[in-house]
Amino acid sequence: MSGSPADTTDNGASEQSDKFWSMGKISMEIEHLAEYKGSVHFEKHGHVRSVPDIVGELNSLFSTQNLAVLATSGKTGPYGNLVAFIAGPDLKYLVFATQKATRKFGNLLENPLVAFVIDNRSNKIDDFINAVAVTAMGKAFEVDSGEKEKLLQSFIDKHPHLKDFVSSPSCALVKVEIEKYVCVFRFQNVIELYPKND
Amino acid sequence: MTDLMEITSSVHIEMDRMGGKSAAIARLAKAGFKVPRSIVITSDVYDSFVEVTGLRGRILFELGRKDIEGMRWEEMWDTALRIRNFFLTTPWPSSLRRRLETFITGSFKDSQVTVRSSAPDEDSTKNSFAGIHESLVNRNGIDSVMDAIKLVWASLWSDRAMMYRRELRLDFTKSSMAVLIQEFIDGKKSGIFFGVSPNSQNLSVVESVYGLNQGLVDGSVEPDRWTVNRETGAVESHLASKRSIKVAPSKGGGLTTVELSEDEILSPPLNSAEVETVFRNGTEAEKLFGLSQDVEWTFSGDEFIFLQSRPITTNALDPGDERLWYRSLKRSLTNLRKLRKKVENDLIPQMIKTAEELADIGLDSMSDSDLAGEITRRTQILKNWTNIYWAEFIPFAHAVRLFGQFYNDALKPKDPFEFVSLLVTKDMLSVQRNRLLQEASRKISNFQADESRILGITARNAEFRELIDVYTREFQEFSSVGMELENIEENLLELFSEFSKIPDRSETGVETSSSLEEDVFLSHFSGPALEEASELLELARFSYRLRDDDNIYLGRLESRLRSALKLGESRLAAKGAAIKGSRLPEEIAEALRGKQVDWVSSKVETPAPKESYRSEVRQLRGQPAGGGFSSGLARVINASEDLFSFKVGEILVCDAVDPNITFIVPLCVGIVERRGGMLIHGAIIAREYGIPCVTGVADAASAIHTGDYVTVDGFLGIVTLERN
Repeated sequence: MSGSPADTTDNGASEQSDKFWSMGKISMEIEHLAEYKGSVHFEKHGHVRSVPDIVGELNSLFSTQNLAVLATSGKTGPYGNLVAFIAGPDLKYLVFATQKATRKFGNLLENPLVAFVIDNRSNKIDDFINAVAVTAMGKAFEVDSGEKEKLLQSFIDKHPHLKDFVSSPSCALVKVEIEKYVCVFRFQNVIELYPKND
Repeated sequence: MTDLMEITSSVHIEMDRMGGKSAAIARLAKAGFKVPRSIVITSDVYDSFVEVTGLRGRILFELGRKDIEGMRWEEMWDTALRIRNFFLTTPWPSSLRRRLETFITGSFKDSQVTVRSSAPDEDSTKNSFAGIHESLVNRNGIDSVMDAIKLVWASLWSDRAMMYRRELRLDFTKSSMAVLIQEFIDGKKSGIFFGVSPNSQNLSVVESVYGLNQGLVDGSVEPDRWTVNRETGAVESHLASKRSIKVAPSKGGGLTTVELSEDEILSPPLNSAEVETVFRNGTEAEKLFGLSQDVEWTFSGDEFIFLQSRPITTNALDPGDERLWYRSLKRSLTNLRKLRKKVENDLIPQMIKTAEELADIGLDSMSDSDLAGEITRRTQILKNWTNIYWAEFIPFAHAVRLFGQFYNDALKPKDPFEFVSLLVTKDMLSVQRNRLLQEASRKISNFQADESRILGITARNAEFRELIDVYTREFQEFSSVGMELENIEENLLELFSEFSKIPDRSETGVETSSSLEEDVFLSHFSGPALEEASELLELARFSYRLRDDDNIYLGRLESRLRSALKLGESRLAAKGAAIKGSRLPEEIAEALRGKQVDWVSSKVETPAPKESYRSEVRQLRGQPAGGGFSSGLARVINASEDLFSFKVGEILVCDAVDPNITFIVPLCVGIVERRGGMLIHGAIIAREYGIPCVTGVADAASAIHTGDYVTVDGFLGIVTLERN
């Protein structure tokens, strides 16, 4: 047995244990105390992702992914399809474009509540560790003339090849104000992010 | 058939596929050095096995449970055990099996072999994996060799290997493993050669033992040690050991320890000519490789044989290196036997005695300055025992791990944690106490015709009065609860009434943990293996119980400190001193000595930066530590008051369940714990009561709030939250 654990415990343990007295639940922490040593010297603890981390992940995901799965619902039931999208600043909204005779546009007129799925899977087995998937839920409406020019330009900046499509009078630019993002990390860790709408 | 190679003088060396150890043996063979007959199962075979059987995905999935950076070593061990069991229980694809069997039996007929790891990233000059992966010595019969290959593969995912790779920042999702199979050589004397002594650049070191060198390598047999001048080859010193035992092949395969003969005890394993032979071969190997070598060797008759040779690592471990501690987690049976003696015969009795002695000291009659001295002394005592806990008790937990592996190797169960049921014993202190509490609750339910009158009835009932007294004492003893006496009574009564609401549980696993299972387990062995099996079971049971009880003993020492602190505080308060902030023991002692104390103010909370987002945890993944699926309102335990507010049917959420709080477990329908592991108290007690349990949930006690509606999936290790 090397002397190292005992040698190095002293400082770490005393600092931490001093904190425990003050908490008035010393022995509850004894096991923890041992682990504390572990955490400092040997291990870094896992934590739930912080808000800035999640926001960072979403921003990077939305800038690297071109397509989202859009889910709408109408008389014929739920309906899903791929759409090109952009994300607004502060993640408050997502925007996509659709020709106005499509089934999804029809569905929107009937029920403006929609969901997106955006992910970065690679279709390889390590997706279960590395892939991030986000479900965005919100309310859709067609962009009005006041905002249209600005959003159109942002859309074309990200998807230059869709310039003709999105500029056509028969095409609607749809903005979805997001109520929440359901973010899935490592397959089963799920955190919801709510952009604060003013 | 290039994925299976025979090491001959004409072998083509491919480091990436044959791994470091095999490549070194191949180079030695090509240069004409004597090595055992050797074949290599290249890493291609590993890759194809994990691909074809789907194991690669299962391993990744297991690793994906949590960020590796955030795993405790216990969680790593659990993960390692699961992966190891994947390998053991995954059948060989039949064509691969045929091909391997033909190749192996063609090379070795039916002689015994040693099966060694040879990972492509081990034994480089930068990273020494010495002792990290598995080597299985003296395997007998093709089935045993085939199992050994799987075990060597699985050792790529041992806790030590994962921690080591994590420390070295190697990408272990890309790890692969070749296997070196060597003819087993029953050397009469063996040892190691270290080209450059860690203490002097001018010296080489030769260490030798009788028999095989496994005892030397794992530290259970002390070697004779020579230092040799690198320039002149002259022996500069010989340090004889107290020779008593050696490691020898066991009849049915594997190794055993044997007493040395009188002659062996009296004379060193090597004569001076043999020391010279070792030195000469070692230095010639150094010339061949261009680097100083760390060699394992043996003598077959008079012939010197290289078993393995690796460069001395440039970043040799200094004594403070954490990696040494990882290695200390692997304990041999011999070593554990010694440790148990120390723990059982010395440490635990000392701990109990210390607690009793402290209890006998009358604090009330002490002067303030004596009391201050006593506080300082008790603080030091507790700190010392906490250090011992780390250095001796935690490593002793390895007995459970060793047993788990032993059990799984022999029985190949579907559930890699099946062995735990053999370990739970009735005499664990926390189990005894919990039983007392349940008994009382049963009694109280007899009184409970009118709940509102409980207090009145109990007060009149002498027998009950006595019970309450017993409890009060118990809870004082388990002082984590840290409450004032009168509060304890009141709170206990409230708790009793909660207990009486529990529908009758059938007897717990503790009661039924039968000798039948033990018989089934032992029936898999015979001869010396049977002895080993029962000894290991016995050791593991002791270790398991210790894991529970040592906390309780520590709790008693704390309780003694607490009573001194309490008295100190009350005296200070009586004098009108303003005690505030963190109230460190040292501060209280100083104040009692009449000194001015700047009470360290309580931690200043930095205000959270204003954010335009809000996040809520919806689902968290941890380890499935107790089967079952249940939902309820969360009760987060952050302080002792929370324990007594516990209501039947709630989900217990906490940072770490320790034996001192397990008494509320019978009330809950699920357990969620931040600390991870399958063998921690929360998991143990959950399985005992059949309560769904998920451990290793990041930030559990802060991410989940009291009152959240929580679903605990103890099958999959998932916790789902709905916040109102």
